[in-house]
This record gives sequence, C-alpha cells and structure tokens, in this order.
Amino acid sequence: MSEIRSFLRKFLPYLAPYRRDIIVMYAAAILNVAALISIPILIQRAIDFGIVPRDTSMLLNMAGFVAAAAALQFISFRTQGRIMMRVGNRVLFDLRRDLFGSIQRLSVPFFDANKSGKLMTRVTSDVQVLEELLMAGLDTVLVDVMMIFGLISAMIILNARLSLVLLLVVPLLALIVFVLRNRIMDAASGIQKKLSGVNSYLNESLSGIRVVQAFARERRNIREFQRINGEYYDNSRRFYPLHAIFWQAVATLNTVSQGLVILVGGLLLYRDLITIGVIVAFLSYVTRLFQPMQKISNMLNQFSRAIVSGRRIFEILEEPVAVPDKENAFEPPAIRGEVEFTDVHFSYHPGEPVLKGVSFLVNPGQMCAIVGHTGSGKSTTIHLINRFYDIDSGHLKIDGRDIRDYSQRSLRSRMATVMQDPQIFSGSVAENIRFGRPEAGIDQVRQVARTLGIEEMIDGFPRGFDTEVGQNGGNISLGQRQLLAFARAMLRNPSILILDEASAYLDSETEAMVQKALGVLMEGRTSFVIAHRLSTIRNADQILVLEDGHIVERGNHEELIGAEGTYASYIRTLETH
Amino acid sequence: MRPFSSIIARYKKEMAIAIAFMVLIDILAYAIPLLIRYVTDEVYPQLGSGGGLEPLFLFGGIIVAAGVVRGGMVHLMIRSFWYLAETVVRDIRNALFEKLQHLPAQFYDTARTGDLMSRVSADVQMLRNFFAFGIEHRIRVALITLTVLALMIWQNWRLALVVYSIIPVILYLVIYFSTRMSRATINKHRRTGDLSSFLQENLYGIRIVKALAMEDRQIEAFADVNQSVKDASTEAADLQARMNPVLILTNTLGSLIIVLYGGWQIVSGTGDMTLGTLLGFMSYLAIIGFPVYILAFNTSTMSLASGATARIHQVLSQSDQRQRDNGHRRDRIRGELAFRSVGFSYPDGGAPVLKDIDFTIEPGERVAIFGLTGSGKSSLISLIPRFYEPDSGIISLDGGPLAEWDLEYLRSRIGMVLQESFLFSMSILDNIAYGRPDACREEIVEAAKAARIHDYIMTLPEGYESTVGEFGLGLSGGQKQRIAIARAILKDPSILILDDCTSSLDSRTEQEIQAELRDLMAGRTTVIIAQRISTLRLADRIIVLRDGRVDHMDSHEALLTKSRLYRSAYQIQSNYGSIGEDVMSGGPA
Repeated sequence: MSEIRSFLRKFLPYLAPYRRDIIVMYAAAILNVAALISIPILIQRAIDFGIVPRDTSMLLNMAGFVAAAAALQFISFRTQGRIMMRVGNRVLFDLRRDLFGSIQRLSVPFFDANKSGKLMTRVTSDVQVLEELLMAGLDTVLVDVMMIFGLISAMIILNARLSLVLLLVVPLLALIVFVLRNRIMDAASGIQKKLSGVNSYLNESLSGIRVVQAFARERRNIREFQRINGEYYDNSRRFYPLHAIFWQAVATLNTVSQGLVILVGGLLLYRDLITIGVIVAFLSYVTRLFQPMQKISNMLNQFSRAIVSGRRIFEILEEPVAVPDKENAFEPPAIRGEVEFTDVHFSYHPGEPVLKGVSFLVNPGQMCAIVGHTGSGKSTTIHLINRFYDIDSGHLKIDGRDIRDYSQRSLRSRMATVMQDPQIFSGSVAENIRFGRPEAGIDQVRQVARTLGIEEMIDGFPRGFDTEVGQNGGNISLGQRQLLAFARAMLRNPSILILDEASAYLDSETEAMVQKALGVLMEGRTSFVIAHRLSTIRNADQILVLEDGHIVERGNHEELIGAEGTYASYIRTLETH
Repeated sequence: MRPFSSIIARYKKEMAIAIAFMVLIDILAYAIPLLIRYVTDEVYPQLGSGGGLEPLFLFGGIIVAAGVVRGGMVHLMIRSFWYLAETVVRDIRNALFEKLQHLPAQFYDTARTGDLMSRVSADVQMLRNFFAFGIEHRIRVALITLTVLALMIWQNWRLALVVYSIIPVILYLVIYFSTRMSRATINKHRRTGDLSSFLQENLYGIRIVKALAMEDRQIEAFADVNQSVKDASTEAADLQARMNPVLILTNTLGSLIIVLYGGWQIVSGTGDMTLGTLLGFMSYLAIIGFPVYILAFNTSTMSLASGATARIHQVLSQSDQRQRDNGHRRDRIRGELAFRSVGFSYPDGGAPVLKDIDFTIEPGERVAIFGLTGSGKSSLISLIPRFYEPDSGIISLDGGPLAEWDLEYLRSRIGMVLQESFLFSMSILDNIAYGRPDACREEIVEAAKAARIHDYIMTLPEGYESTVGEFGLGLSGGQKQRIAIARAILKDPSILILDDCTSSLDSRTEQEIQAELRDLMAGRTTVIIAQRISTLRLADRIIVLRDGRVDHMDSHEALLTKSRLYRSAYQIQSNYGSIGEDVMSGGPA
C-alpha cells in the first residue's frame, strides 16, 4: 500500500501540468458512458412505445434520440481518446527527458556501479511499462468502473426483478476475469522466459558462427537448439489449455446469461411484470459487462507492473550526485595548466586504497608520462585530474587552486581526454571531430586535421570528411579511430591534455602516423600520458613510475637511466635484446 | 505461404479439425438469435394468453445448453489452432537454425546478426500469430458476414439490403485506417529504435561525454530524438483513437436502421415483418460486430505474416555448404599445404583480393604472414578451412585438392585462434571442450595447463564451472585468448591457423602468451598472421603479402636484406618499440 502511495506521490506531479486536459477527458468519458448506456434504453422505448402500439411519430422521435445519442457518443469518445493519448505521450516525453537529463548529471562512480545495459532498460523498457499504463489505464480507471455501475444500475432501474439474474452472472464473470486471467498472465510470463532462452541461444550461435564452423560444431548445436526449442514447445502445450479455458468460460457465460434472461424474463412476462422491450434491453446489457471488466483487470496488472518500473525510474531521478559542484563554483576564463598533487590518497572502495600518498607538480606546458603495470594507479591518477572522483585526503590543485573550487563544466571545457579505445559516435568523420566543439566550422576541422597530418588520410575515405562511421567506429581501424580522437581533442585547444595511449600494436604505417600526430598534439600543453611506447616516454619532461599506488621513481629519461633503478634496468634489457 | 506448404501439408488433419470446430461455433452463434426470435414471436405471446410454461423452459433450456456446447467448442478450437501454430513454428524455427548453422561465411559477411535474429524471433512470431488466430479470423470474417447476410435475406430481404449497405462503408474505413496505422506503427518503431541507439551510444561513451563536458549538448540532441518518438507515437495512437469511435458509430447506425426501417415495416404492415424478426436482426448486428472489429487487426496480422514468410523463405532458400560438391577423403593429415596460382575476390564483386598466390608449406612447418592492413592476409587464411572458395587456382592438402576432403572432417582437423576470441555463455569447461565435446575432464585440464590458464581458473570460486561469455564472468583479453588457445590445443589439430591473435593484446600479455603459442605450434603445420616482429620470429619462414600478391617468402634474416617493407617495419618497431607495461613486468622478452 505504501508502495502505491509513494509511486503516486512521485508520478502524479507528471500529470499535474495537464490537469485541465484530464478534467475535460473525464467529462467527455462520462458523456460517452451515458450515451452508450442510453442507446439500448432508447431502442427499448422505440419498440415498446413505437413499434408495438404502432405509433409512427413515437418511433420517429425515439429514432431521433438514438441518432442524437450516437452523435454525442461519437464526439465524446473521440475527445476522450484524443486527449488521453496526447497527455499520455507528453507525460512520456517529459519522463524520458528528465531521466536522460538526470543520467547526464550523474557522476562517474554511478556509471561504475551501473552497467550501461541496465540503464538502457530504465529509459526504454521501464518507460514503456508506464506507456502501457498511460495509454490503456488513464481513461480506464474511471470510465470502465462507471460503465459497469451504469450498466448494473440501468438494469436495476429497468426491472429490478430481472436484474437478480446479475447475482449469478457478475460474480462468475469477476471470477473469470480477475482470477483465471491472472493465472494465465503468470503462466505466460514463464513461457516468455523459455522463449527468450531460445532466442539468446540463437543470438549467441550467430555471433559466434565463425567459431562454430571452424570447430565443426554445427550438428551438435542443431541438436541442442532442437532440445531448447522443444522444451519451449512442451511448455507452451501445457499453457494453451489454460488460455482455451478462459475463452471457453467467457463464451459459455455470455450465451448462458442470455438464456437466463430469456427464461427469467419469460417467467416475469407470464406474470405481466415486464415488457418485451425491457427483455431485449437486458439481452444487450448482460453481454456488455465483460469488456469493461476485462479492461479493469488489465489495468490492475499494468498498474502493479508500473509500480515496479516506476520505482526503478524514480531511483535514478533521485540519485544524488556523487561528485557535486560547490555553490558558486569558480568559473575561470582560462587556465594555465599547472597541476599539483600533494600527498593524495584515494580508494574506490573503503579499505582498498589505490593511491597511497602521491605527490608531484607538473608546470604549464610540460609533458608528464605515467608508467607502471596494471593496478599500479595510472588510470586512477588521470581520472582524478578529470575530477571523475574526489580524493580521500591530500590536495589536488590546478593553477594553485583546489580542484573542488572549480565548476566541473568550466574546468573540463579547458581540458581534453583521449581514451585508450577511443569512442567513435555514429555520424560523419567531421561530426566526430567536432564532437567536443560542435560550433566549429569545416575549415577549422580541416585545419586541425592538416596540422596533425591526417587530412590526406581522411580525404582518402570514401566520402572524405562526410564519410559516415558506424557506432564504435566499426568500419575504420583502431589506429584511425585514435587519430580522429586526437583531432577531436586538438580542436578544443585544451590547456590540459589527458591521454591513455593505445597498448595494442597497430600496423607500422599507422603507428608512424600516430606518433607524429601525438607530438603535434602535445606541443605547448600540459599533457598527461599513460605511455606504452618508448618514443613517447623518451620525449617526456617528467616520467612518473608508479608501483602499488606510490611513485617509486621520477625524472626524465636520462635522469632515470642514470638512477640505475627499475626503469633503467628495463631499458638495458631492451637494448641488448 | 507457399514455401511452407510442405510443413502445412504435414498438419492437414489438425488444421481441418480446427476449422471444423470453428464452423460449429459459428453455426451455434447463428442459431441463438433464431431461438430468441422464436421465443419472442411464438412463446412470449402465448404466456399471457393462458399457455403453459413448458415451451419457455424448453427453449430457455435449449439456449443455455447451446451456450455450454458453444463454450466447449471454443475451447477445442483455440487448442487446435494454437497447437498447430506452435508445432508449425517449432518446425520452422528448427529448419531456420539448421540452415543458419550451415550457411557459408559469405552469407554472414553481408547479413547482420540483428537482422537474422529478428527473422528467427520476430518473423517466426508473426507466422505463429498467422496460424494461431490469423487463419481463424480471416475465415470467420468471410463466413460470418456471408452467412448473416444469407440469414437476413431469408428473413427479410428489404431490411437485409438496407443494413448491408453500410458494409462497404465499414470496409473502406477499415482499410483506410489499417494502412495508415501500420505505416504509423512502423514509423514509431523506427523512431524508438533511433532513441535506443542514441541512448546506447551515449551510455557507452558517457566518460568521454563527461570528460569533454558535453552533457548539455547531449541533452539537446536527445530532446530532438525524444520529440520525434513523441510525434510518431502520438500519430499512431491518434489513428487508433479515431478508428474506435467510428466503428462503434457504424454499429449504432446499424441498430438505428433496423429499428427505423424494420419498425416502419411493422407499423405499415409491409413485407410480413414481425417483432421477432426485428429482434433477430439486432442480434445479427451484434454478431457482425465481431468481424468488423477484428478486420483491421486481421489485415495487419496477414500482411505482417506474408512479409515474414518472404524474409524467412529468403534465408531457407540460400544454398548452403552441404549442398556443394563435397569430397569424402578422411585420411590422416600430414599437413602439406600447397597454393597453386590462387586468385580470390569477395562474392560481392569487388576487386580481386588475392592474385596468383603460389607457395607450399611443408608438414610441420611454421609460416607467418606479414603485410599492411588490406593486403589480403585474413582472406588468405580463410580459404584453408574453406570458409570461401578461390576463384581460380587450386589449394591442396597432402597432394589432394581441398574439395576432395570431407568438409566436416577437414574442419575438425584444423585449429583456429581468431583475432578476437569469442567465448560462449557456458562454463569454461564447455568452452574449452567446444571443438571436442566428448573430451574427458583430465584432457580439458591438461589443455588448460598447456595454455597456462589452469592456475587462474583454479582461483575462481566455481573453477572450471564458472560461466563466461556475455552474461558471465568478465575476463581480460589475455585470459580469453588463453582459453581460445586451450580450445585449439584440446582439438589436437593437424593444421593450426592463428589469425592475428595477439595484436589486440598489450605487449606484456603478448610476450606472456608467446610461450604457449610456441608449444602449440610444435610439430604442426602452422599459419600465423602477425604484426609484431617478436611474433613473426616464431615462424620458420615469413610470407610478405603486398596488394594481394606474395612479395617474398623467406626467413627473418633474409627478409631484412631483401624486403624493404619488412625492413622499414622492423626499424619503426625498434624506434617506437612499445614498452610501458614491459617496464614493470621485470622479465626480459
């Protein structure tokens, strides 16, 4: 119960802006129900007072009323449907907008904890569950309840004795619609799981088809698929009788209730307690109870699913920002690019320190290479300069000012980052380059490409700068992806450059191109590079050798060689190789 | 439906039974208004004028009994149709899967997995709907409309014709709305798909979005996508919200016509119209309500099913490798591979990828292939397990052309480690045993030890039973490659093909698995594609491939003097030699 209340408390504000529309919708719905219920009564009157006593003018009068009621019903039903789907779609728009906005606002630790697939589900499937509720449920809540009460009251008013038949019909109908149907829904979701098992086996066989064929596994996989498919089939054979029973019950009750009306109506007629027209009206009313009941039951199911989905959606909307900006955070017009770590400690999880007192100073325009093996804290160090996380203790200063004083937006807009596996977005090459500065013109894009020495390479693509690259850069090589990411970074003209050099080996031609472009890119900027290439490291003003969260050696290439430490011993191994 | 006639033919009897039940249900449905008419006209008037109650009980009882029988029929019909649907669909799904397993690589070059998936899941589902209720609805729409027309004409042809004059209007409206609705729905799905891809990309690249402070731009871009989803789904919903009132209105108009014209007939005494006939007409109108209501839905079921049938048929009619000429040779393989003036281009009609390739690999020899991106390395090795067939020339194994060998046997004797090792969502044990499912546990552990992944596996809580793959444990690139190597070791292949399997690894990991590769190659004919000189040096001879031709084939030392391409690659790698990770790995290469 408290779940329902908390869902409504958060969800109703989304409906609030459309309060007036919703009121009009319900007014139209009331008219619609009234007209629908009045039509059989008017027809009954046309028969009893027009046709049976052969009164033509009464017949025409009643027919006129029927026509008027039909027109009213048409207009009000149309109005009701129109408003419902407009409001529903607007609410969904608002919900998706807020959800996406709040995902963009959240900080990196949130994305560490929540895989992108899970978040996708929130914005697509969970919103869709709410869509179904809005589209099917918004008008149902009142309309169908009114419909049922309207039908029952109409029958009681027309003939209270005959309406006693309902004492038998309504409970049976409720049993079918609410109890039997829910059992079917439960069974159906079990079947659905089996079916998605079939589909995911298939999906994997297709993704790995090369391996399947290279290992000559086809025949065995076909047998396995037939087994899974057969399992689903057997389950569905057990499920469908339930489905058949449901429709059997509906059909039986429908006809049997008509038979009952005929029987009981006849008895009443025998005693002169009813007219034929009323019996006819009853015949049409009793068969109309099913649909609204079915819709209410449907709505209740959707509502309980919506509560679950809604809870997950609102969890994201209410998620606190892990790395917040200060109030009135500093927005520098420009930064020089001095970065200083003083005894910085950091851990992702309490009790598992990753950086254990790191201190260094990088002056504006200097290049700093960070080396160390996996888990030594290299990536963490550059994440902290990006302020993806806040440090546990110590000081991290940019241009002599605590990093937490700056607004993240303005700070990052003075920096650029190239990741190890550069993200390419679907769109043209030019769009990818200007991703970080969308207002840049094509001349600027070309200028940057020229400076980096990759203009010719891009012009060699099928449609040059307009070549569409797929998501994840499917149709271009890793080396080319990296070069585009360099151009993207360069176009922003950042004061601080952060770069995670690719560890994978590219073919020698591309490798030479990347090395050249890298040199151009870093010129005159404070740069931090997680380096994997000897040539990159050699050019660094300062090399930080990280081991287990500590800086164990620092200096430039010559100094470190002279220091005869870990770094030097490796270089010697390499040279004698 | 023609492509499935053979499957349908198998279930002719079931289909006939289902249709028979359906007809019985409808007959009962027409009988009930007749009964109601009889009661109103013959039984009710007698009730007041001293007649007994027996006829009332008799006919009332008959209606109730008819209801019970009808319910039973509904049950049997639904069961028959749905069983039929599930059975047919199971068979089609199996046939599709079997076909997909045997389709050649060239099919998979152009087909996208997502598209194929939707054929086997969504399209098959459309067909299921066709059998489960598409046929039933289609036949009933025609059957009910015609029978009711006949009954109405039989009872009062004037009134019948007037009532049926609204049928063309209804048909027109249904067609009008259903074509627009299916267009709108497709559009809505497409827009929703756009939104999903946008979202997926944004979430996948969220760190770069944040690093470049592009959140606001992304929110703006999302607003556009979101707006078009809203517009498309508003349009689709609006059509539905327009059609429903129209359908109800036509039904009410039908009642109005009956009351007005039928009533006038009674009042004026034309065409021996009775009150019972009028009530009967009202019930018939309620019966035609069903076909009218279902027609739009049925039209879309049918058109979706016919589209699905065409797409499924397109896959099923592809010729697969089993139908190609296939040899029967299953001798023990020594491993002598010879390419004789082999030329190859991809079936989509591009420029030749390989030209006049000519070389021989001795049994047990290790040969590496080196070349720039696009020089034809991967194409060359994919000819060996006959993923593709050469356009010209002959590839022979132990002196016999590849086509003479039994394809399944040939592939079972070739071990491959691909650039990106694909692991299936199953236990590590099953993944290693993928090429030899009958292997015993000891053999699998032995292979894992040889690939130096055993110790790591033992640190996992579930050991060899740990699930990997998409929904399982996340493994590093090096760990995955080691499992792939174990998979190849367990197969104990006569020929080993390594397709650039180390380039995606960092140099430290690459050096670590070189030892495993060396063990794996020992005594087997090996073809290995590599970029790094350190890996190339594992080979006895190196083929330098340039623009689809063999430029040189010689040892490392000889190539340094002979091949300019090879020498420059060697120099670049020495200058830009990748260290980084290696600095800390401590050990020499």
